[in-house]
Amino acid sequence: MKRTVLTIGGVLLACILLFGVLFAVTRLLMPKYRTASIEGSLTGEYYRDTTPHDVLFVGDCEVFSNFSPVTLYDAYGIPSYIRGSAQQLVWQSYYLLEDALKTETPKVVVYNVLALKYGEPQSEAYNRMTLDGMRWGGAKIGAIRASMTDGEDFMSYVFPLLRFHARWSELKEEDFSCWFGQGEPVSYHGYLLRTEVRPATETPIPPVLQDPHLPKTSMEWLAKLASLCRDKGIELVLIKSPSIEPYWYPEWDADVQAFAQQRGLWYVNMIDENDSIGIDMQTDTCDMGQHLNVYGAEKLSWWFGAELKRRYDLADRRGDAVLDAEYRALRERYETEIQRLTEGN
Amino acid sequence: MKKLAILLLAALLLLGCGGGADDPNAVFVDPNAVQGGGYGDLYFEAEGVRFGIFDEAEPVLNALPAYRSSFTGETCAFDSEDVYYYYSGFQIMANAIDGTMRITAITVADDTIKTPQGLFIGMSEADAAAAFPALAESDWNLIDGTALLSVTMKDGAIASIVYTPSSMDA
Amino acid sequence: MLFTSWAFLLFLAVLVPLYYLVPKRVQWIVLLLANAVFVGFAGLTGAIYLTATIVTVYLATRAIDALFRKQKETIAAMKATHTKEERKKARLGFERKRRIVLIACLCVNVGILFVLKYGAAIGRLSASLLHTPAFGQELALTMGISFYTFSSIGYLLDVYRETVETQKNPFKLALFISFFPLLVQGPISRYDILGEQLLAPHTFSGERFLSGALRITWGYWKKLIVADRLLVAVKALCARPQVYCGDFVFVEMLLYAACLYADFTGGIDITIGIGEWFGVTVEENFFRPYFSKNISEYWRRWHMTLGEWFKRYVYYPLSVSKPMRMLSQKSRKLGVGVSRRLPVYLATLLVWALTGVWHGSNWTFLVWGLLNGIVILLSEECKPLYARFHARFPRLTESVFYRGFTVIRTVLLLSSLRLLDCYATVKDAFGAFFSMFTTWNWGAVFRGGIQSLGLSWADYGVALFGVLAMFALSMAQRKAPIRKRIMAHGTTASVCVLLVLIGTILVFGRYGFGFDAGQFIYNRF
Repeated sequence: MKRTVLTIGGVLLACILLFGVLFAVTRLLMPKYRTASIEGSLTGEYYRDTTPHDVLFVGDCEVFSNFSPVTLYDAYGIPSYIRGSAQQLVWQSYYLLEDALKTETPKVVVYNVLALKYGEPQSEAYNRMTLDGMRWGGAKIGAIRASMTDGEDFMSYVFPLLRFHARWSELKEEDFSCWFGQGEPVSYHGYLLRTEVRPATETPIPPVLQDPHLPKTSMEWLAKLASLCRDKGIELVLIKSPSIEPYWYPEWDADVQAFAQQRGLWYVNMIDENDSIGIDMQTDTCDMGQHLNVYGAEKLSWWFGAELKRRYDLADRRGDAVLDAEYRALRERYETEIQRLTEGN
Repeated sequence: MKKLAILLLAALLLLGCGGGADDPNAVFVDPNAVQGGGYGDLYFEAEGVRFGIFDEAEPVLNALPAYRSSFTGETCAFDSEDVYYYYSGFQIMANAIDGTMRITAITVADDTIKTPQGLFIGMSEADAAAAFPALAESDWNLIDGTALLSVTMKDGAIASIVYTPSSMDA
Repeated sequence: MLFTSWAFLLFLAVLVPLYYLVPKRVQWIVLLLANAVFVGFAGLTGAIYLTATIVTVYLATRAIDALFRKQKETIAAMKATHTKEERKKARLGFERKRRIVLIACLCVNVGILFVLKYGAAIGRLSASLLHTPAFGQELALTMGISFYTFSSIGYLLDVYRETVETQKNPFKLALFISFFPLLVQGPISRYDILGEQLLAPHTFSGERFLSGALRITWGYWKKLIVADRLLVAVKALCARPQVYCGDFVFVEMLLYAACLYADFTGGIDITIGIGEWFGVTVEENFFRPYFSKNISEYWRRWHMTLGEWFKRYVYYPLSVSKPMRMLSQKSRKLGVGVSRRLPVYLATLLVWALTGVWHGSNWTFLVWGLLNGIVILLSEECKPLYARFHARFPRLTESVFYRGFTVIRTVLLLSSLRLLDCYATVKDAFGAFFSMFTTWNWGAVFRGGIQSLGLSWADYGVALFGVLAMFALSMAQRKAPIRKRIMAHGTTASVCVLLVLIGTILVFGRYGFGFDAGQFIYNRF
């Protein structure tokens, strides 16, 4: 009897040890996204901010590069967060919003429409960057199931070691320094800050569209997103941010306009508003018109904050001790980073 | 028998060594490496310079007159870049492949340029089919070696002419 | 359902507990249903061919059995009333009928295998000769057909020879023919070894389960850490014989030797381990083959069940067949040595040609088989020469150095022959082999060549570690079975070894997105 108990104990201990080791190995081998492809950190960083947000941005690089939550708070007292990641597909935005709405109910959700051009899963690498950081729940399961490309399997999301096991030969310093810790956030409430100035010139000739309309699947997910907001009493705003490349076709614009009109939503194509916003693609872009730099993002946030305030009667939350403390710390980090980058430039 | 076989192998080995074979310091040239010139008849020509898919970009850019402007398209979250060079009537795209910038797309920009295959923007579908029957037969997407020539028709006329790699493996 | 798929692991996870939870008398039915699920996953076509084999073999063996019984009754009844001559005539009549049934069943089953295996190749050949469109290009082997057809034929012949009892229950026969672990890449099992075991009731044993788990995990370890890793480089080397010539071919020989060993023995380890989980002892298919001192010995230790099958069902019957005896008699005028050797040599070459074509429809396999036969026969001829050499230099030939030399020589020789398995044509294979002696390009091999094969230095390092681990284990096995030695240290120690194996597979295995943890190499045969 004693021997059996000892054996069972030994086996259990060995199993616990194995799971412990595998957990540690998984943590070590998972990409940390701190010095390269830092966009992969964005999804997970959202959970580190516990303050409420009146405005939640969802979308792809055109939200996390082009809007500054620090400016929105400083100028209008609008607390906000950007739930965006690289090539974030519309169904991923839907599930990330669903996930966020479990813990908060913003007044306005802003969705950038560029990713509507993708009607099917695109890239495993982008999937991992967007989905690995999500907390587990129905939303994550739904997002994974909707996003998997050929060759991907669900199990590798449950046990990321199955996906990243081969990284042992390419481990970097950051993999060890952030093995169990998270390190400093790479974003400022989801905003990725860049200070370079690379003026826009000509943009590539856009390919002739075979089908002038946005994919049906994308529009269906957009409709779901709109329903989700409506059910929760949240205002949905559709935007096309002012980036001039990739090309935004007038045919696509018409599709979104029709969608917005049908549901009584505000849709703004900011490419047409560049003059009123004050965006100068000679000084306000970090990569020739694809993304705004911090100067462009601040101008856009000034303009867009005013519009949001005017249209949706958002309260000025400055004076709230918790929010003030949060945004003070955020601003300090933000300004230090601008200084560091501009010195580097 | 095995000893005979070993002797035979040893003799062949000696023959191989004594035959003054290759330089042992030679560096391996990767046969999978992308190389230019494999586009057959699907080349492009401008200002007397003939070039095509996977040709090294630098010599082509040097041979052509100075480009009007360029654009570097970054891939979100990754280091890869698409570099576009704009010329009168056409655009060249180049990418770094195994450390070398190579031409990966040539796009005709307007009706001022006629391709070596006799095509131009605005050309009627019937005329294009007569000028390049093989292209019409392949549903306006013709592959020759490493190159794919894609022509888009709109309202019965050519709306776009693009040369791209025939396979995206590179 | 690949052994390396999640679906298969889930299948096992459900099946094993179910097998021991049901009443013992229906355990074999659970296993039969599991076979049906496994075969069903591979597709309807495969299931139809398998069913055809089961049905035809069942009917034929029952008919043969009935004829035996009828013969005995008839002869017994004739004993008092008929002459010896009449009884002999009646016996011959029954024998003829049995032979007709046997041949008909053989024709159906060998025919199916032949058409599926060679149909497309014959179509291409006839098209090239007759300048007509190639027929049969849609024909392809279905899962396990080469293995279960041989097992079934073995059973059929054993029944015909009265060496096994005929199975009267078609479902029990179906269980033997379709036992799922053996469908992937064998071994080619015999009914007298496996039949009763599959039907016997089994009680769960934790020790046996753990022992099986160790064997299975070691199989996966070899497959995912060594075989699938090296296969990337081997495929790259074979794909471009014009580029990867000279010393690259030598590298390829070594890599393929390690890759094939890890792949095939890994698969068999998984099969044997799964068998243990169901209380079934599946035959071993390998006995440290790379420690062989000559090719004949190697073939007695590599894919042993295939060699045994050919020996039992082709070589022996052929050697003593009437035409061979006649040939031996007729060749007596050429000398006793010739008349003694001729039938043996002919039978040997025929068996090796068949072994070659069993592996595939390419000419490369036929040439590979024949070359193996020729090397073995030449070795036989040179035996007196060796004996004299051994007698002359006893100290040398008994030394460790000489034994090591013979082992390395054998590995190099069989690896050279295996080049025919790697390349698409005989010309490419011979071209590659001879380029080793005409092109001296070690510089290119180590300056960029090795790295161009799709593996990093880290990958080569892991593969080398894997090969060394396999070698060390083989060395250790010489004293006593390694699993027994591990298990002797107690359950906790065994579980620890198991967990270390699992952990290393999870980290260093080649699987998941971006990797093609594919089918076993022998599955294509």
